[in-house]
Amino acid sequence: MGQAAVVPDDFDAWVRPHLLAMTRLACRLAGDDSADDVVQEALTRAWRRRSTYDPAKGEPLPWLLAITADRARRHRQRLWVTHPLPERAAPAVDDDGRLDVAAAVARLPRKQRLAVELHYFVGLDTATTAAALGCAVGTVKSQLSDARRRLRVELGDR
Amino acid sequence: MDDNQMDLLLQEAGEAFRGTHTRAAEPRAAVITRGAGTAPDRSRRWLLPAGAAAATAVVVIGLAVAIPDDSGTRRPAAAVSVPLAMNRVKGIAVSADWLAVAGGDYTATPIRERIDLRRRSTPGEVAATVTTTYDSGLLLCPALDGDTLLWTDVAAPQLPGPGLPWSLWERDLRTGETRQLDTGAVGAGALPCPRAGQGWAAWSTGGDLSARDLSAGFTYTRPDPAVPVAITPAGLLATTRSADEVTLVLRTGESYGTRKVVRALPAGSHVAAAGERAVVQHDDPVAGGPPRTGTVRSCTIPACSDLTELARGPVSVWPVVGDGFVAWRRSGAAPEVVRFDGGAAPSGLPAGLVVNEAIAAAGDTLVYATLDGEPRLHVVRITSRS
Repeated sequence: MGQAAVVPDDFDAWVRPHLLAMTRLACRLAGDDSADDVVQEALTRAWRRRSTYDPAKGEPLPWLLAITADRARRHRQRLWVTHPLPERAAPAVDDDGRLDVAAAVARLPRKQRLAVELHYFVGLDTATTAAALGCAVGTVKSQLSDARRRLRVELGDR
Repeated sequence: MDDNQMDLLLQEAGEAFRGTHTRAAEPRAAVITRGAGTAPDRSRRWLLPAGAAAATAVVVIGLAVAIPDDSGTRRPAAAVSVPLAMNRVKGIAVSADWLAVAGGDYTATPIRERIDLRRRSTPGEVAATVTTTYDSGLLLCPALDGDTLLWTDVAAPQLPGPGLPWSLWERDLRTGETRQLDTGAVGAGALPCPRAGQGWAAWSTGGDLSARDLSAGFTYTRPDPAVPVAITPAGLLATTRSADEVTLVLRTGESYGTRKVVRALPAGSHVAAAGERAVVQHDDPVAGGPPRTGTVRSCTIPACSDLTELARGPVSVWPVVGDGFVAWRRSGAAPEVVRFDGGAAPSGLPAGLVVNEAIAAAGDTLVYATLDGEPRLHVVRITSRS
């Protein structure tokens, strides 16, 4: 299969079915205000690297989400330097005593957090999540289990 | 709470999130797929550092950009556009972040664990490189004054984060002599980013403001929460920030020992300055979304009592100020340049996707990067007088 057939020339039509998932992941990892910029960066990156996409290895969605996660990480890295850090970590319980799941998820180790964001918040099944993370389905299930255990420690007894 | 309950809680949180996030980003196809139908050309890909100088010399493209002189007549200006070099970390291609700063005869381009220096007369060649002192580090915030380069080096195995060590460095570009000026661990605030000008450098750490006489090699550190903006002929301009306002401060006198509050600005304002001009950019906050309105204003240092509106609307990259001009960028567009003397703005500057704070000004020169298609560094001389 030649390169032209690997990724259709109509790049816009090729990525459009996946834009919502990319945008949701960008919102989760970089914030609502930065999501559009992160998705644009991810699409530009995807366009430049389109020759490296191999359809034999899976659907385009995991490939695009992996790029989106990488761009979101870089975006956060840039913001971190130009904006002051919060003086303390966000509490797991807000002022009204409600559980703040988002704050607790944000404090998970990077791989566990990505698995949680993709599976629960973007809404992917474990197979697609595994493809996006470049690991086995069993690894994703293990990461999700570890993440839930951590979250229970942080949220469960409150 | 058991595992099933936690699973249910996360499912409900995810469904609630998806229910409120139903809008997909709209791709800017013209930007993303410029050159559609052409396979990536390896000869135009980013270049490994070792071969960068030789290879970039081959692909430097001269651009004639129409810059109006004082009479309003457009004429070609000295402008070049070159590919940015790339580096590789553990085999992974890394994009050029944290671009760029210009000063003296150089432009400095931080690329993760190193900073490339190019002479402004030959931007296609990497004249010198400085590298991180940590096993895995990021070089950030380059500042240039004459032949002196300053930068911040932070240990960053993944993301820069609390507790990681940083160090602030100075190098004499003529002799290569390098000194460590300050060290610390990342705390609650932003990293110290040095500013340079008028033969001095300044940076802020944990409530202290340091000013260094670059020729004498002596650093004065005083308690002051202000963060340096620029070192101008009128003094060291700095800002303090609170939830209610941004306060513009000017330090003057011997070793900048005298402190004076210039004026208050709206909370969230960003200030840039050079020469006799300060520029204040402020985006009006919008709950739950990106800003849609804002202003770019300028004033004369030191009083800054004559704030004048230059432009409306939010900008995606904060303005930078050079001698006689201010420039900023909006996403996907070429830089917008306004001359303080009221002359016509230049047109025809290369446009591209805005990434990072990828724009800098020094003297009569504007430097910026575009990263769509292939990353390119643009060096444009904005001559305010013919």
